[in-house]
Amino acid sequence: MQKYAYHWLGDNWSWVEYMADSVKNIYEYQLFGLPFMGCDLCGFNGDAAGDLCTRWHQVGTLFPFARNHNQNATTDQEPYVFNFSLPANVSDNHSITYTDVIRTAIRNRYTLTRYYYSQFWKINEEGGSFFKPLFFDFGDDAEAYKIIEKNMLIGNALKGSVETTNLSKSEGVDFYFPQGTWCPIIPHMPSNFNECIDHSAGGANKTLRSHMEDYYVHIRDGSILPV
Amino acid sequence: MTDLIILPNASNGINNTEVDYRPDCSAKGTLYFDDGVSYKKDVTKLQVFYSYISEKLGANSSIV
Repeated sequence: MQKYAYHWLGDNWSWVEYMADSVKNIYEYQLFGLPFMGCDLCGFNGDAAGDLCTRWHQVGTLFPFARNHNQNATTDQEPYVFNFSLPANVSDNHSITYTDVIRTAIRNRYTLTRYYYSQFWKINEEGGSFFKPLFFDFGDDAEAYKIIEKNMLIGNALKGSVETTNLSKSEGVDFYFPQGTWCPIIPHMPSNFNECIDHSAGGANKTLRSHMEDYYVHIRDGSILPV
Repeated sequence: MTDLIILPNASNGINNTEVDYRPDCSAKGTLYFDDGVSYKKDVTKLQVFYSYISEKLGANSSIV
């Protein structure tokens, strides 16, 4: 089963707490030996608002298995439902919509399709995990065990940084980057190597802006990423 | 067409077993391709190794 099957996290709720928990729950399934794992993006029970559904798509498109799924008794939550401008409490950019932000996240996932496919095959052949907390690869770093719902490794080459606990805009959220050099892939596809994070001397927090349109994926040094 | 984003580092060369020398910096990755149509997928595995060497006859880089 662990080699061929996928699974999802069950009937969750459209609450921000469930979004953060979905990250940690997918980590757990990596331990169980089910790497191809996901959850109902935007939540199954309850009504999802645009801000929650958008952020859940952003982090969800980094999940191994990504699917928006809803109960029929709740309000619609397809990406096109939220095609209205970002309000002032989540962003300063009012010229784009939640739908625009979700579209960007989905396109980013498809840009990484070759990488995802390769990582899944590699796991199928060799075992291992795909969506994992930092301490899986940086076990000697005590900081890698903290705030695991915002910092995630995506296969061997990428790190995701997503504010999964707060939907309001923030000019500075601390994300942890372990020892190494990390260069942005998202939002600077293919990359802007002038904005690399040099933590070659040791791991540290990096403060990044978190408006609704902001989430981050960095390539790890020593990696070759197909796009 | 597939592009490669390569971010080498110095420490990678220490653990590298694909080559018999230690490069100044290197990067590695694995790609899998299939034919996209058959039920029993015809999968090709491609291991990519990039190295940069600055000693001796001058700086050079290569992708294997």
